[in-house]
Amino acid sequence: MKSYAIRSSVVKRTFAVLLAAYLLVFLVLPIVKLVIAAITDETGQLIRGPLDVFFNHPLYLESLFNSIVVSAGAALLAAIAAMPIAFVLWRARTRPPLLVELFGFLPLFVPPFMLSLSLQSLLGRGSGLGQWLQSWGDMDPGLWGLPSVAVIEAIHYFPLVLMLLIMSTAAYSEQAHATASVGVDWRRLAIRVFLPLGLPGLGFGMAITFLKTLDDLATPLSLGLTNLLAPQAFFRVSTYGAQDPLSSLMAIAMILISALAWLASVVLVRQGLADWERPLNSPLPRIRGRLGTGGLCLGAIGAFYLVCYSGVILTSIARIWSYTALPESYSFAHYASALESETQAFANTFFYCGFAAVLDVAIGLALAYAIDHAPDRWRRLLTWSIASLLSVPAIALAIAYLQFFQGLRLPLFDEPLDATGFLLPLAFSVRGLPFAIRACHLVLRNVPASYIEAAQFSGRSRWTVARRIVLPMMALGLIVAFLICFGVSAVDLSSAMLLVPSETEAPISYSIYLHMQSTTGRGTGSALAVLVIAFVAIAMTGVVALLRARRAAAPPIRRIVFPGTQTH
Amino acid sequence: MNSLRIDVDNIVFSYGVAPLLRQVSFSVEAGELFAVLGPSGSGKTTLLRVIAGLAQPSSGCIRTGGAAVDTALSPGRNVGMVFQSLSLWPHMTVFENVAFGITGPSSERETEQRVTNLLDMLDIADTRDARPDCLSGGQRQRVALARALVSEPRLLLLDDPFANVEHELRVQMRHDLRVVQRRLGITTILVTHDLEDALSIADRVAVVVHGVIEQIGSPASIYDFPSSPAVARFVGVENFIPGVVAHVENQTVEFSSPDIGKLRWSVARDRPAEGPSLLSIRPHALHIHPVDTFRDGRYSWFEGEIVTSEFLGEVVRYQVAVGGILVSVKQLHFLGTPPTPSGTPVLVGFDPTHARVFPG
Repeated sequence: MKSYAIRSSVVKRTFAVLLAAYLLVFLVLPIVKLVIAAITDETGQLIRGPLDVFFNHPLYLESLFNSIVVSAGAALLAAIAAMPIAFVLWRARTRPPLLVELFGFLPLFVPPFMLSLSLQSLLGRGSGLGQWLQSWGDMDPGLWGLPSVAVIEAIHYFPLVLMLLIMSTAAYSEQAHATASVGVDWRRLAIRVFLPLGLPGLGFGMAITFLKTLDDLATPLSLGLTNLLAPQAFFRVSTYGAQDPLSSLMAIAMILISALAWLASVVLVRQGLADWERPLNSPLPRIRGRLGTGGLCLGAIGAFYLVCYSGVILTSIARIWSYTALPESYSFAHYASALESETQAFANTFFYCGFAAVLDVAIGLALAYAIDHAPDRWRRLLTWSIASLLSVPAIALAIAYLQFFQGLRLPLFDEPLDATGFLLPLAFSVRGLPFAIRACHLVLRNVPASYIEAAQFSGRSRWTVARRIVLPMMALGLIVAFLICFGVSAVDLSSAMLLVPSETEAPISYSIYLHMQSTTGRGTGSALAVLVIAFVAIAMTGVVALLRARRAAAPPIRRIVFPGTQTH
Repeated sequence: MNSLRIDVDNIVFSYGVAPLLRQVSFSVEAGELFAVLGPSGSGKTTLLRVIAGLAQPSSGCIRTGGAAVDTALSPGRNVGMVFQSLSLWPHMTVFENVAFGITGPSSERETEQRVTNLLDMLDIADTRDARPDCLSGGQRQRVALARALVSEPRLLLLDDPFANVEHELRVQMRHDLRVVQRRLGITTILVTHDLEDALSIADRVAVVVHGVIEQIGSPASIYDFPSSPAVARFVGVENFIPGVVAHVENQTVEFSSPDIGKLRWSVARDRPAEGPSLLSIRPHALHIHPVDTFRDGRYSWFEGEIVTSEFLGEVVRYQVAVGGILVSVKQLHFLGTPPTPSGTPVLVGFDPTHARVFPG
């Protein structure tokens, strides 16, 4: 027994050291290097030149201001749109089916620039609809300037905010709903009951929208807008190289803004992380077969998004489409071309995102286990620290990587590390870690200690217990965790644009972006975009089908997508 | 099965600063069904986990068959356990759940035979290919029991297995467990927070309060002669009347209370100590009579007034104001007899031999 205890302790310590080393090398040190690069020169002396330049240059100040306003605007617009709809659904006691609820999380797995390009195809000056709408004004999103970014991001993230609100307000029983509703004026009900219940979901949804908008590089670029922090930082790195102190300063500014926004969201809900996650996980029986107002609302939202994305869908099947409301002729040639020419991009995506997701699940499991077994005060600190990873923008992390790993050579390949594709999956994995830990936390929760203890009583070896009890019980959760991490990485275009060594080594999201930048490639790009959205939708449907196949498995998936403190 | 005697000797278990178990000692005879009874948080589950080897005690030791055993979980301990949540593996069928417990060299046929016999004995043979989520509460409980028994353990540990089960099913499950335990003669330790569970099937009961064993005895002795107010409260005594005990004559005790006045009764043995005391009486040991009726000399009497009455079907529970306190009284309900209305002055009497006096 003693030797086993010692061996177990050694394994745990080794894991802890490896974990600490991973976080240190791929998160802490690059960020520290980023800060140092922004405030020191080559000799290590403190300088204030970059700060002076940043705060005296009108373009940079404008970009800073624009980034904050656009991100806040997107979050606010999404919230304003989501609140009345969520209230109507709540009043109508309509809880969407699980699949629809999961589709609310699609914005996390589809890049927003696809919506931008779709709306441009649909409403742009070259489209028939755009021409027709000219009499009411120019509807081309590319001509609205910064508000178009806020509107597109708001439309993109609206389903996420809505679903979080729905899940948040659904966190209590039917009887409580009835008690709250009977004889109460709807305004009073909205302010005194609905809003406090929905605040956790609303705060989290707005924070995600803010952070993602601030970090989004491709959407402003697809609209031809560069007076935002992300595009400015990207251009500085592209023009002056990774060691440019001004780009470091911009990256730090983005991290600070994100951190403040994240903190503000927590202050807004006035609850700890665990507290606001709890209502999201409360099981409420899904009301089936009662459509009415709620069903109509959901149908209208679905139709709206179908129209929004019809630009991409139509472009993907259009042979010729110019100055007409609909394409003149149709063909699947773009799909054939996409599948034929982008095999490498698909393979790259599977490599980068698969590698990142495997790493995330492994690290997520270890960290979730550590958090679960930590003393209370450490548990809270660890939970907060991991959650705060969300406030490290992808572009800031990518710049930090380029600075930190510049000059390092990959041992076996004898190549500069930043010239290989290895940095990208590592950046993906760090970005996906908060999601992975949450998912793995739920995976572990689905295997309570008593299940393992019961198996140990049989006298079976630990390997047998792991193989026959633990792994089968965790399998589905691990698959979902993998898919979440894979999806989150697959849309991380900001990291890809900076860390991909060449276009041939780009993941699919970058390929779509590149195709969409050229007039001739739009068809193929759109076909790729439709394929990606279809893939994500099929994956989600598949997961739901799997869960339905296993009785009583629906609550765990909701908890995995929105994990928390639910006990078995 | 070859049953086992178990001795728990001075077990101390601490988690953080406050000890959860303090110097816990008791013995369980071979083939005995021993219940550990206590309220939530009293440390009874921790005690079971220590015995099972799932938790390491800070000090003390456990001996089985006279020999000290390693306190860590090991395959050679011959222990079976049924967890409170039952913990049936959801991805396995009933047969697989039970068969998982068979280790060592055993042919497929032997495994099949052993599991089938056990499922037959527990009357769940028809569920062998079902998954746990398709079973009823009672069937799941039996599967958990079968899984714990399949390895032919010499000690069976049950962690509140009837918790969260509705009353009717609970009674049936208790009965089934007792029958199986008797048939196999296996030493069993049952941890429960439910008085009825412990009293109805255990050979002996230990009452644990705040990590200390307050009393060990037969179910009837625990119920009739609780050793402390804490145990008395836990076994259903509701009335604790403060007062002072004085010895009047050799075999007569006088209890003076500002609330109920002076009461005298004779005691043959176990005369309570003089001084401040608590007189404890069960609600059903008290009788209510109209104030103008004959006062039976076998009882001690005091006057009061009914404050509330609750009709509970089999009995009516009254709250009677006596002096400055409320006394709880349970009276059997008889057909056609309405509860005595609130505000009625009554005589409350009790047989002093049914009362217990604790130092106050």
